[in-house]
Amino acid sequence: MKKKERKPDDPVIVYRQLTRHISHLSDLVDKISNIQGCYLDQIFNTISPIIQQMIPKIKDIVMVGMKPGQLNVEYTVHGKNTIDIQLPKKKSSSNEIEKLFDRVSSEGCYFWNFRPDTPNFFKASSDQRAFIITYLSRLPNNEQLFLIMATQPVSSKKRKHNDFFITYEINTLKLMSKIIGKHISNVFNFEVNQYLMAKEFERH
Amino acid sequence: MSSKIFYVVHIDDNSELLIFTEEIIDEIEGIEIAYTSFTNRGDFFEEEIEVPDLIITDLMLEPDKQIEEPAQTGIDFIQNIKSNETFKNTKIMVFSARSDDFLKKELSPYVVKYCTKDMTDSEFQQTIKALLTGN
Repeated sequence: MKKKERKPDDPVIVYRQLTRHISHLSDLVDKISNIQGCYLDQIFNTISPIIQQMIPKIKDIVMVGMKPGQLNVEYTVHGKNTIDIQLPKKKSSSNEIEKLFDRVSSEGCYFWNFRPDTPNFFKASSDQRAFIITYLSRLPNNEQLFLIMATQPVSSKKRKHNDFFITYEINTLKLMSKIIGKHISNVFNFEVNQYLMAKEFERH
Repeated sequence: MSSKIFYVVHIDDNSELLIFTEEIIDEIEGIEIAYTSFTNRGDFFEEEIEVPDLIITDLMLEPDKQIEEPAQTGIDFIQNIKSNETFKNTKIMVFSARSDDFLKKELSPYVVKYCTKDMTDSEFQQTIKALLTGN
């Protein structure tokens, strides 16, 4: 019997995908809970393989921090699984990226599928990849954390339905980022409070 | 007293989804809906049916072949419908798994609603009822 070809939005595929997403999210929560202290590189190294297992089309992942300075917006890469990343250095060239990150921090995420005229964070042309940027959290030093995720480059001639980000995947990545962001916030706030309390005790 | 029947046509290449949708639409209370579905766009044009009050359509109906933008055929279909005098009063609602900004923008002149397939049953029912009754 010929196997039925199913598209990514087919209810059977969606059901199986969502079941897999839940299982990986549960795994992710268990693993990040075991990380003691605010080590963003450790958190990144823990979450990036899980993201790739959860949504295998995602190839490149970068955890980036954005902090407004007096002259420049400072970008810090806290974790990456690619050498391909390129972030703007000067404020003049980063305005577009800054606005994009502002939008992500208010809406939770922003994505695009193989679009020309879009910001590019990697060396491969942006119209050969699908991108999603999600907001994680704001650190006590006013730095905002984001995850940039991209599929592997696919030329327009070889593109298939499954290369595009669809709603279910976007929702899962948004939820996952909220979970990671809350965890990072909690850990950082706990450590800052511990420090402040210790200082307060020293004074008395 | 005969109540108005609203004609709804749903086009999606997934037959299971059409079964689910028919059940959800059947549960809408207070209005009478005649629901017809098609798994391809060609059948919609060929079959003789009442002019629908609402067309619900997916965007990516083509098989998983190599294609630069799989939603393009859906955009073309919607533009084709809206340029047809027969359907000048027919409302079109997109029901797709794609939620790209550029698709919503490109289709905004032609569709009354752009919905994604992750919406809940009750949201879907409320949307359909509102589009049909204008409330």
